[in-house]
Amino acid sequence: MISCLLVQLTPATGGRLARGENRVESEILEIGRGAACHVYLPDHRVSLLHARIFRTDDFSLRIEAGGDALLSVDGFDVRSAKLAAGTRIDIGPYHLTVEYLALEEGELQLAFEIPAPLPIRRIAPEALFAMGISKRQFGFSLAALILVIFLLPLATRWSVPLENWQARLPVTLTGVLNPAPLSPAHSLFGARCSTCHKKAFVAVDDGACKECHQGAAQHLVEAGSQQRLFSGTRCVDCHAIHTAKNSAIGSDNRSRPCVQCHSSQGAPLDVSQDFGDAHSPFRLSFREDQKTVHVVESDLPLPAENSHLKFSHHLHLAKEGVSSPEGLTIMTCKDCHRLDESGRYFSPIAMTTTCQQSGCHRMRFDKPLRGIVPHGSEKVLLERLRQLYVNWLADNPAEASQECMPSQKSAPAARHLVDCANQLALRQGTGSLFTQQGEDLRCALCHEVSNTGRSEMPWNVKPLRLNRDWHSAAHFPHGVHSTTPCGDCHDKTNSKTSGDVSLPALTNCRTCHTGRHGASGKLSTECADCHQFHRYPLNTTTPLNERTQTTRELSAHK
Amino acid sequence: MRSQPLQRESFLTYRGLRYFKLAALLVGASLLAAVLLPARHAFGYGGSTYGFVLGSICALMVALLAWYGIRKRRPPRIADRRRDDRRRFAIDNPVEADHRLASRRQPRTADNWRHGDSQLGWLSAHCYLGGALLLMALLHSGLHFGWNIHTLALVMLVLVTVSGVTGGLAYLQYPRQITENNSEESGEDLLLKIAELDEMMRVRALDLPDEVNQLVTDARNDSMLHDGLWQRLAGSHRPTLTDLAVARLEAIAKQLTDGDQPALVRDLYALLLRKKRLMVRATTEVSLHTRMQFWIYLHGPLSLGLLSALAAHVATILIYW
Repeated sequence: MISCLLVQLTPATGGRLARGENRVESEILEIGRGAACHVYLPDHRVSLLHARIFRTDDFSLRIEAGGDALLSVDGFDVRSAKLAAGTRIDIGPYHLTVEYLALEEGELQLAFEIPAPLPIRRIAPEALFAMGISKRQFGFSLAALILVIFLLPLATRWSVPLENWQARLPVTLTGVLNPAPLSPAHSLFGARCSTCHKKAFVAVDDGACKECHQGAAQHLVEAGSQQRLFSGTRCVDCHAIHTAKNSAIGSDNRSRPCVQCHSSQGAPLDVSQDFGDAHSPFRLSFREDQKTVHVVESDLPLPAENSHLKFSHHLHLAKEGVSSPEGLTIMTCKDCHRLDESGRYFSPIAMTTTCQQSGCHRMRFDKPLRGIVPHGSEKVLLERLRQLYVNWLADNPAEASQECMPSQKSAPAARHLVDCANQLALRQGTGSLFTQQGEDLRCALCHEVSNTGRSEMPWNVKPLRLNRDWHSAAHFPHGVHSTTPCGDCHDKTNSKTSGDVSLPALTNCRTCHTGRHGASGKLSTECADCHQFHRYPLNTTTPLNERTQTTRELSAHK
Repeated sequence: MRSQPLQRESFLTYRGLRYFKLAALLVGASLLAAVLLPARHAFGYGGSTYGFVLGSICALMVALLAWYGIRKRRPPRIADRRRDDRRRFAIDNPVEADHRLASRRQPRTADNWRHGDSQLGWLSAHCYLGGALLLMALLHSGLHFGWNIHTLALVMLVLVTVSGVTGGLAYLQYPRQITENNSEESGEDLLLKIAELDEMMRVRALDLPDEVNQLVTDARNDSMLHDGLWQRLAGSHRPTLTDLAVARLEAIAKQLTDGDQPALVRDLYALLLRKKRLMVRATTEVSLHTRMQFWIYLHGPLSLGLLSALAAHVATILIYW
């Protein structure tokens, strides 16, 4: 057992030391900053269990360092040392002195002074701001930089010269304000925002649009209805210019304006809300005289098309082929139906380039002269025959007396020649061209020919009226459907007359297309994909589609 | 019986994940609206009705979250001061305080304002609503991006959110690592021990050759004061003057004879090794503290940048209506 009197010297006023005493007894005296130590030295430089004092077998007292603690005895760093009176022990900032030692009784008196705190020498900055990094400086600089960069383009709102100047730069200032690329047509002046945005804080009105789009067609034919229904509708409600990359109508909300009207009760086509599951049956447009008659596809049987053309798809699409000067030729739809440059419609079928290009359908005549007449109107054809016969009779005057009845004696020979050529032309026309004889390929084989009773032009070939826009309220780009076989939509293999209508039904389209909400494996289809909103040009009652139809009809006759 | 102070809950689990639920509700409602609105494609453009409403909500949320940064720096409100007064009164008059607490419907305990219940709630809301804000802003944008002020505002929001999440993770990770690194000592203790070792080495080197004395003097001047930000963030312990002194002293000790006080050199060598270990720990300590603090040096300034970009975004939208 060791009995230790601890003498604690504390600095007091006047430079004196206050003395406090405390006795502890233990077999082993523990020294450290741990609270359980007998000699409690509260300093960071002292380990929890810094050292211990114990009695040895020879009754001497020894001090031993604990762990890797530093222990200095009488100025020497040691791990263990024998204690004697006057021994000085250095533990951290504490200097302990053995003032009294009685080995046999095991009594010990240790005195130590409370040290002054050691000044801390900084070897590293405590916080980042001590390194000169300022949050506020960084933050306000960043905020100011952003504001400056983006306030400068805003100045173009009030300075036309600045706006015009920056529009010529490779990288425009207003570009940083533009939320999305403009449609190609509008990108021409896209850097000049004031072209459309006339006033600050005021929404773009239709007046800005109509500065360029003065003749924009309207949706309804009646001006009153148009005004009543669309007076509150702005152009930009549908034409979201800043989100349209390649379309006049934005990629968003394309069908919503249409559905909002056409889904209400009493509205035309009030069931057309979505192509996928709520679309009215197709209405087919038939031409009757000068009128257009619409027939719902479900009203079977459909009327025949009255195109004044005699044509059998069944014959031309025969699997074994069609007889031609080159032998049996297997024909396909695309041999005759070729897309025009736009890819949306088919080029008009012309006799010379479509039907006669392989030697088929040549219009021959053989008595008394063999030849081929061009395809064209009756008048052109007859004039051509007359010309041929005049030239032939001029070269062979003897033939004229044989082929034609002698004319009046007083008539000159030239007159006789012309009259003879006219007779021959009329005879040829009556005999072979404007009638169908057996299997001869003549005009009446394809055309409806009637007699006029007039001697100068006894025949009349009814003009063709091929209906090229069956869906007058919609447009169908054949070009983008070219990957689909024609027969998937048009069953013409058994059609023997041109009056047969073989247009795909709505259900047929839905095998590939679905509505706005999309479906797996199908194409999402919006209203504007097929229908045109701006249908009626101002001051007209004819829809745009039908106007173009008429134009193409005329071109088909050439 | 007097109610005991509750154990402090984390800001992440504040009041049974109250603000997490609110954030989830906001995001869920936004997604639901995007799907169920009559025109589904209303989602996809910030200028649509859906985009405009969502953008307005997002702008208000940004203002609310930014207000947290101002609020925590302001002095406590009168209500908070009164709460602190009640707490002090309870300490001085426990019996009377028990009566008062019993009469209250929901006794609440809190420390002071800065670390109290109110502040914890704001922090929890700041974190969860910040995350929700990012998702809602993405829905508002319709995932349309470009080189413009509108996308810049979104990018700033992403950066602010990422830096904030980094800060949250830092406070979850680094305090434990700092405690493990410090062992029994605090950072101050480490610095004091190094200073004491320097002093001990100085005394012991006084009687040693000049070359050794110079090494000790150089090692005494060892510090991390000139370490750059990236060195502190990386936490790599590059060779210090102490390391050089240890290596040099090893070479010198081999050449010493009995008359050159090899025992003193040995002591000095042991002290240098001890300081070297402490320097490694001090470097790690500084690195961990730097990493724990650094996120706020991004989060705060980027938040100001976000406010600036948001103001420009809103101004542009309103001017070019």
